[in-house]
Amino acid sequence: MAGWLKRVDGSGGVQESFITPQKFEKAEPFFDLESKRKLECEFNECLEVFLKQTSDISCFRPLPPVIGEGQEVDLFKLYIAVRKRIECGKDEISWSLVARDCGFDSKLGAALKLVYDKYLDELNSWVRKVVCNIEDENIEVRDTSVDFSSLLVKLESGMKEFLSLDQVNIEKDVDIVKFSDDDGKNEIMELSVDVKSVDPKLRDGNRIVNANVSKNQCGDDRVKYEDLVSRKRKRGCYMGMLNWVRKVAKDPCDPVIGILPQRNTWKHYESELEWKQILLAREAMLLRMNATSQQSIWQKKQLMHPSLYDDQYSSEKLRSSQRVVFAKDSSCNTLERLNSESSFSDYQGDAKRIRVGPLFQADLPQLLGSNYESDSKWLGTRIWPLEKVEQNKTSLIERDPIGKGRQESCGCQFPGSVECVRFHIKEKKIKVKLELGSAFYNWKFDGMGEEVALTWTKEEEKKFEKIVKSNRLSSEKYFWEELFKFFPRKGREALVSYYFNVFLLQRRGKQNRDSTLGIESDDEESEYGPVSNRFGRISDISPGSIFRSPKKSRLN
Amino acid sequence: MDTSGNSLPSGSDGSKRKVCYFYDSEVGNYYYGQGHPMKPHRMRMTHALLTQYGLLDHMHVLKPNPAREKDLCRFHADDYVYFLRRVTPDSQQELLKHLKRFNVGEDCPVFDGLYSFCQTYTGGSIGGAVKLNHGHCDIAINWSGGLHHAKKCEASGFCYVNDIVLAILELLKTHERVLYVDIDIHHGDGVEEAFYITDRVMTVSFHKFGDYFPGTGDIRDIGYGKGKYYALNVPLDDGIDDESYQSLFKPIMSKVMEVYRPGAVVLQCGADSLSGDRLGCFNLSVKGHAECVRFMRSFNVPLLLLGGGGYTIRNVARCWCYETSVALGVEIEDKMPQNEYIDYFGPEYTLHVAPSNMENKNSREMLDGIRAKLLDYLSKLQHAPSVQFQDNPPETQFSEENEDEDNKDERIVVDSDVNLDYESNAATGKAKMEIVEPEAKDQNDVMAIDELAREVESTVIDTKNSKDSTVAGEADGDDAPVYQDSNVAGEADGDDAPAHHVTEKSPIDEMDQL
Repeated sequence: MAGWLKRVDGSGGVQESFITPQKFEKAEPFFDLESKRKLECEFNECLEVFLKQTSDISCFRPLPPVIGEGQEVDLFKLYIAVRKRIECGKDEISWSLVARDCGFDSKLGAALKLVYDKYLDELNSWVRKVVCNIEDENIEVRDTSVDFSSLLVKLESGMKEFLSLDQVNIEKDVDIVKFSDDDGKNEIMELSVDVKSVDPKLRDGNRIVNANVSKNQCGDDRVKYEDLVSRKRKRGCYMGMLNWVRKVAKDPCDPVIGILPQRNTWKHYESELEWKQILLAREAMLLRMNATSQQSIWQKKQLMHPSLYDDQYSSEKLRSSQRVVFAKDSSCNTLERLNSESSFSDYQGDAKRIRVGPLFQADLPQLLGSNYESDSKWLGTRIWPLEKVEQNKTSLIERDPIGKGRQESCGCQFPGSVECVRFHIKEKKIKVKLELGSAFYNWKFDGMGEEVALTWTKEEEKKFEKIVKSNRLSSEKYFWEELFKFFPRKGREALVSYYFNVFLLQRRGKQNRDSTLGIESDDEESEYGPVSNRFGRISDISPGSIFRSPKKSRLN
Repeated sequence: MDTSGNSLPSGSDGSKRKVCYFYDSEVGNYYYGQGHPMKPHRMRMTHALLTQYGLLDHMHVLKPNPAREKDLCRFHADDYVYFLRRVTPDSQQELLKHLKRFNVGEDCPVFDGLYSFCQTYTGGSIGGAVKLNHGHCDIAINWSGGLHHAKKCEASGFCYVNDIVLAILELLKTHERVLYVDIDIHHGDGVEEAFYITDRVMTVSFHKFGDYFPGTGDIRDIGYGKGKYYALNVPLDDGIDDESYQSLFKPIMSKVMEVYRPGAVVLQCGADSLSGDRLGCFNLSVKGHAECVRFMRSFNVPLLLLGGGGYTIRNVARCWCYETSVALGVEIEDKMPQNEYIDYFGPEYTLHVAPSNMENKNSREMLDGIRAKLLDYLSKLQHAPSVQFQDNPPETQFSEENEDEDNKDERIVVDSDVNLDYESNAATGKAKMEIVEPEAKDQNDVMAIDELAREVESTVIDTKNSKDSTVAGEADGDDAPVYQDSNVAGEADGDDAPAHHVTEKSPIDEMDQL
């Protein structure tokens, strides 16, 4: 692990301990791990010397070579895979199979061929030539020699031994690789096959999440998948990290994961921590990928769930945007949806899904039947009907029949005028007060409607109106802050009450009566801007917000 | 509007229900923030309107007691509830990382009194469930509840605490199965998620789908594991009108009621599916919206009515006031009585306003497709549960139908239901439809049903009708058996033995599932 981190930090040399020949583990009974590693070291040594000697400035060959989406090519693996085929006497090498052997998508075969030609082909012919010469001329090789050709000879003999043993497994080997080949799900499987591809996958958080979700939901797949993992790798060293990534992907908000510290404080944490290893690895991957561009990776898109960071960078809510993305994806024809069956494989990632797990579902209570008891507090406090004593007092009053509406006409001089309406409301209120008795105050009817203004002075009302209206002109102002400042003794509740019971009501009343004004709405926001936080305003709306509704013509 | 489907004897569903209504006079003064469309003030407007229509006279009005932290933790994660209790507009800067974790801050702002607001509306919803459990009423109403987006560990879409889930959990203490119906324009994702893998709660959500919050609610999402087919989603498009809506709502809900036979129904009446809503895009009239209430009420199963969305507040008050009258079974006049907020309702000053002439993007073909698909799901659900209410089903009858593990599991659960229903039936004789119904169906079988069906107006779902007429007949003799306390007690006694039976069996079911 240390070696890996070192490599990732950019301080490591060539491949060294970085390359763990996982694939050959299957050959374990035939070729023990130790000698394999030795062989690999020899190979790396040869390669290094070879490249040093052959490359010049015009033809620079960086190590390790990178193909596809930044996946590193394990040259040793590649060399073995190709040699196997040459040994078999195949004229035509199937590069897509080679790619699979090396743990890549078969589409990357062509790229691998190029890498092979550039890096290894020449080496291979050198090796052969040297070995042939030695064999032909029967020159003894001195053990202590650091001579390049002797290195090659040593490598070649080791290689031959290895290949002869591994040959038996070649068919089986390919079979297992096929396992991870059915499209769609192989993303996550590749992830388990080759640690190096963890990072490229991380870049695409969505994919991992989706694969995980779908896996989570299809029990069968999961079994297959776990099985595969155990077959693919017996070494546990990366499993912890993988599990961690998987856990994060499943639920970024899992309290177990906690909050990740800001990047500039990472150095204070031990490198044993899983998150740190992963994030460092990812950073290294990105740095290399972006080596050509000048832009800092931290100016680019956030790559993990923002809630993982305890920082200010997460203005882009990845999860939120997913909602919109998925929603858009799924806005395909309803009829199409109707005709497709709900199989998890057929539309994973197509829409936002309901999550399954102990963090999401409720724990159901047992059925109690007649043993059912409840805290009497749930029954609440009875306000109506009134207690018997009070009932007798109020029951004498004549009541309107239930559901009765407004009178057709009234005797006021200007029916429908503000004064007329005020009068009738007052009239009705007095009646209701008699009918309701104590409930009138329990329900705070005295705090409903324009009556609320009675505790306000004319000056206060004018000032209130002025402050709210000034907000209209300047979008930067939050009138609530102004109101609090100006009416420190009124309190939040009284101000809110006045706003809804008097201010908005009166404004609407004016609009109702004056056709020239036009009715804007009783919705304050049509005038007073979009969303706000507390009594201030939020500057922008994230894509997954409920406020994002399709444009529609406003009625009214 | 066709209401014949499930009418009670008096023809227009006139029989009275005992209604409890929860209202806290403080609720109107909670304020999400400047320009925020969610305005608790709408509950106060509704209350004023109800009062002036004289509707309160005919029901029990209760002030809810606030739910405590431990009550909220029956569903929500401890740390989330602790956070809600602690956070204030002034302390939110210190809790920034938690704000993100719990998705609080943007759609769901931190405002003064946030926690007590949650306590209040949740207290009302759980209170309603308790009232129903005790049989104190037939319909409980809490317009301040219905915050269906809230998740176990996070807030979402203006919702912090999911009072619906908590209320359903309370109902599950006395009811084997609870049905949740959601007519908010947004998908009822929080409730669906909470009960996604159980068959004890069936969720049915009618909502706008496609490029719309919260993004879930695909017709192909039908529940998982044991809960497969116990979550239904009805995805709709812009501009749906009353007729189109009911062409789905009624047949689907009829079938659901027939197949699932819930002990209680929770109906979330989000009013943002009304025409002209600030955040919505449907074109329902208040009557069309309330038709859903009328229809669910007609099944005569304990009913909890909750609020929800609704952002053009004058229409929200109109809608919930009218739906309260529907719950009571009284008609109220279109011309609004004088009330404190009458100017909000101008210039029409009427209860009902005409929907707009916006285009209905839901084609006939699409609606037919959705209906067919959902009825198909329900038939799969019926496949096993049709066994449900037969007593002592002969083993051989099912051996061939036992195609896969899924069905097998469902059947086992269902068998225990049969016993429960049947035995309690025998003990109580008649009372609620929930109990009466199975009896009728058990004994009569298909032939009898056909016979009955001939007597009733035949519609799309004929078995439905036959069942109703049976119920109607039963209920007729005994005017309001449900209201009588003695009856309730009797029913509870009857439940005793089978309840034990079920509790004992449930762990085994769980193991089967594993």
